[in-house]
Amino acid sequence: MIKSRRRNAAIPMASMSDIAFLLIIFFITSMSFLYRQGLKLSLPKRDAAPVVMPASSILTLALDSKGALTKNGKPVSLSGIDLQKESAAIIRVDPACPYKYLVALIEALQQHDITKISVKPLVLSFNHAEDRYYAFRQEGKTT
Amino acid sequence: MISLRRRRKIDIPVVAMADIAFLLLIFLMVTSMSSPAKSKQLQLPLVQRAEKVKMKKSQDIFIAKDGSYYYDNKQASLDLLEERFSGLSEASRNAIVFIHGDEDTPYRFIDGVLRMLQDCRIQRCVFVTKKRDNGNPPRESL
Repeated sequence: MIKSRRRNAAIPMASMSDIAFLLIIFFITSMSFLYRQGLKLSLPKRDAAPVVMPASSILTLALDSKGALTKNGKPVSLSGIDLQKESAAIIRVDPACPYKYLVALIEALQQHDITKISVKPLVLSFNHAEDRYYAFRQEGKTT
Repeated sequence: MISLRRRRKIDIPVVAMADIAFLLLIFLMVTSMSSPAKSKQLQLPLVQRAEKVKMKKSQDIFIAKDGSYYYDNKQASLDLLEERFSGLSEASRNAIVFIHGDEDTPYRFIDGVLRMLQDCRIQRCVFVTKKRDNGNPPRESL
């Protein structure tokens, strides 16, 4: 007669649960790398027809080379942008203006629900001869 | 005299070693996935509220303070970027470009990229920012 010897196969549950938790932590942390955060832009097509709006609904702002903000030639602060019934904005930006000031201004305008923004370089060169129009889109809103 | 030598049985805890090996593996994987902007020493602009955008069918452009462009971990000219991006919108309508600009980059370099994207018929892009927290002081007033 042949005797079969069965080994007692014990599954180490404690270490298995350790590894399961480790894998969960890994997936949770790696999920955060699937997203980036920032300001979403929707650029217009090159051949898109110009958007015509009444002048009273357009806010005109300018950023100089040092990032100082002016409205109709008068200096204003980000919190001091007084909105009447404007629903769009034109920002004239000096080509030397640090990018952070433009981002801060766009964020402030978005907080005021202004999502149609045109950005124009303040000094026109042959490269910047035509006007630019960027429509910035917020979630749930169409431009 | 008879010396009693007691040999201790050496027992290597394989289970615990496997645990530690996995921990190290995960640690190395997570640390190697650091932010690409950090690796290029870019200071992203700070914002109070930023949207989360999924990195699906996305491309990244990095713009340094001195105006140099980086794509695919290499320095690139605008012409080269245009060449790379020209077929992107045709390949996928949902193509999205993440623009990682240093906060002190002069605007003309950002404008150059936006114009290039328009020429390539790419409509969706994102100014990548960093969320301001308590550790980051508020931006100096404009």
